[in-house]
Amino acid sequence: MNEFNILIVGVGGQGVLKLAEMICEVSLLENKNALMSEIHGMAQRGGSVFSEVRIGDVLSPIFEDGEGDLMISLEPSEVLRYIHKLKRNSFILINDSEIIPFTVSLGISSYPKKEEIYKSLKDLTDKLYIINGTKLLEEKSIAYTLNSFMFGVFSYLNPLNFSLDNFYKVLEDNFKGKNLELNKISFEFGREKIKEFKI
Amino acid sequence: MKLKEIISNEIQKRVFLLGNEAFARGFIEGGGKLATTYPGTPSSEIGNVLSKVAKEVGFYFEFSTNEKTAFEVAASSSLSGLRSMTFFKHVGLNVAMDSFITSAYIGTIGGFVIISCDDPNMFSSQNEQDNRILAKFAGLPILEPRNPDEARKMVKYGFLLSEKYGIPVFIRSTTRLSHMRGIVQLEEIERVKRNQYFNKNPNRFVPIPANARVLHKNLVEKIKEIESESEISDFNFIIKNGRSYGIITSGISSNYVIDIVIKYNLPFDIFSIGFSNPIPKDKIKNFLESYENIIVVEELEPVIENEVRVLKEKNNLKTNIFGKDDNIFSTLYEYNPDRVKNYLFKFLGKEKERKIFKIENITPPLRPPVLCPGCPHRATYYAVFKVLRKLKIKDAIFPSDIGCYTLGIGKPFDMADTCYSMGSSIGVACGLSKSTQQKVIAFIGDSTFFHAGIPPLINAFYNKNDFLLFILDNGTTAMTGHQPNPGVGFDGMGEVAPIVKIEDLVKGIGIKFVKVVDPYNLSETMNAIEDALKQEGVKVIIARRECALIRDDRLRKEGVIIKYFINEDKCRNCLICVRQFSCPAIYIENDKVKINEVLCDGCGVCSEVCPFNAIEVIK
Repeated sequence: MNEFNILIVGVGGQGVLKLAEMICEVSLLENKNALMSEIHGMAQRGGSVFSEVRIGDVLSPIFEDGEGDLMISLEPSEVLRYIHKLKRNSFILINDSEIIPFTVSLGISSYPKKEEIYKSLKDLTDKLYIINGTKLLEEKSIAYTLNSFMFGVFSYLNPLNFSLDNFYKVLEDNFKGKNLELNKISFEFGREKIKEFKI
Repeated sequence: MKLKEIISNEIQKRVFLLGNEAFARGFIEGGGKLATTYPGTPSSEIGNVLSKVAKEVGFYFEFSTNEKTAFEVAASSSLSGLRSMTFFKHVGLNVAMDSFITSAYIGTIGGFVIISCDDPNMFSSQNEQDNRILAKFAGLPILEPRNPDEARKMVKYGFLLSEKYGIPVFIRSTTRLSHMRGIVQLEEIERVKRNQYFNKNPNRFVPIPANARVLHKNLVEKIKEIESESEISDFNFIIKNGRSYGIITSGISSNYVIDIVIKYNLPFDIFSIGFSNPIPKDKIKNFLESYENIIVVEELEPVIENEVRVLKEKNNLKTNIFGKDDNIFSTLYEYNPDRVKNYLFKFLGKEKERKIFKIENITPPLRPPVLCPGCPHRATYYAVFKVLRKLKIKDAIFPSDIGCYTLGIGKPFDMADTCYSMGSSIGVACGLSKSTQQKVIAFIGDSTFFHAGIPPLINAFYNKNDFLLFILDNGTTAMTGHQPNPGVGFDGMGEVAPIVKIEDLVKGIGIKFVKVVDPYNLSETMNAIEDALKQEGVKVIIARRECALIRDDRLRKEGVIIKYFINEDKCRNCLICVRQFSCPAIYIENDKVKINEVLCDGCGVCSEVCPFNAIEVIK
């Protein structure tokens, strides 16, 4: 069965679902079947959010544990919550900016050390990419375009060899006017910054 | 939401739609003329789409005050000849139940489709009832779509079937289908002008006992006739490769079964059912005869399985049937590819081979759903907490209700002690105030109050209860995605609407203690609570402040940016803001309290909470 499984995770309000949708839309432009699953409700902001994307000839919008080929995590600790969904040596793209939940401040849970998270991930894959999109975008005051930044990172790694034109088409379908301009800047920034990345 | 695509006239165009958006497209393609709902996850996006396109496409859409009303508006529109649709989450059908059952007797003139969005696994619900049982109980045909394109097709087919037999048609969705995206191929939008006239027929439309006896008989005959439709329906199909065992499956579970059987080359032929009531008896009988062993794979209740067992019994078949009763498949929670694979492997006595990728010893922090930064409910809860502490009341009980404020259950507030259903906070407060001596403080939202809070509040006044009710009026139906309600000033067509003032309504009942406060103003809110707790009887405080997400949106558009920070010179690390107020934007780093600027929505309530005036606006 020809399938490529992606997991997008993060915190409510970060744009997880939009990013997943945009990746599916590129797949459609490439004439590949895409399915996506998202869970809404309960948490508007601040809760853990994830979306599964499947590209290929499959019917189920969700995939088995251990079958993910790529994960984009918009928050470092959220990787841990969904790591069981991934194959060994899969792509892991992390936005290196923590969102500390209130449970940590209340002392009812703790936030793991980032270095430890990354160290254990390195043991499991050599395709680990860590980049602080939030910080880089804050310098340009466009932190809310994080999903387009990571869309840019994804387009650079481009595991499915999609054409760059189709990524731009999807951006143009999803944003208008000034917003499109800013999201394009963010997208290109993501592509540029990931080039500099070394493990 | 891609509204242009959902209403597009481009035939054959392939668009990527959410299951719920596809239901909306099906309604439009099928020439639907009236749709109603009360919002509830996982059904809400159907209404969000229809509300935005109703004028342009040319149909009527409304957010009704509750599901029963929504049901009646759509059912009666069908009696006037219009293709009509109503939809809501599974528990909404409980609210509509009274009219729902009888509507099966009365039937339809214009096509009438009911969509129930069930929630296996309870992603955002209080139970996971399988509404196929209720539809069968009513005696209605049931369709179970497997993907968004089928969601679209089934609404259209539902209209046709409903008109042909004069019966409402029930479509059962689940969260996974409603919230999956897939490719939908657009077909032509029907633009037939239908007769729009209510032709009186009281013998059919008024089920006094003499009429009802006839109508029930007719219903039984109709559903018998519809068996022939299920028998020839393309929604029921068999994937046959001459394998040793058979699987009968339905709806979304079909996808898991088909994927897993193909991927692992398992020895099963598959009968996938989309038209599940009445089941295609002859086809299933033939299928049963072909195998010694058959497994039935369906989410939640054994609805199809029980029918298959009856068929076996009636036809004296030898086939072994495996399903819920054999503990192979569970009646609990959502299915998924892993569960289906594990079950099928167990059935075949095969070992699982996969090693799961794990990281030992490092776990992510708990990140439960939480009230948003700036949420006015947090301010209300904090004010209640402060007053109770001041008055040394330790055992107050907090009946809660369905909405964002149910999250008051979490730390640090612990202010949700009971919750049954929409409006239950007030009925429960009545019971608790009669059965205990404890102070009772109930919470209900504005939309939930309009939905089911008014009769119990009348009950409370009439039966001389003693409790404080908070109506948390954030001017929207927030948790489901900000749909309007009768207190908001606009309606489902996007038009200006009259406003029902909650305080007038409550005063109209005869309740004397009615105060409106701004929860962002902590001292005003606390004074009102203190006053209320000193009095006997039913007291109502309306905490009015727009939903923080709406405010954020509005301020962003106005270009206003307000953010707060902790002035370290003044902060004495008392941690009241962290431990007692617990806004998600406030956190501790290196033993210092900080505010996350991205998350802070600038409500400023934390600056009132701080006893040292250490929280200030960033200038």
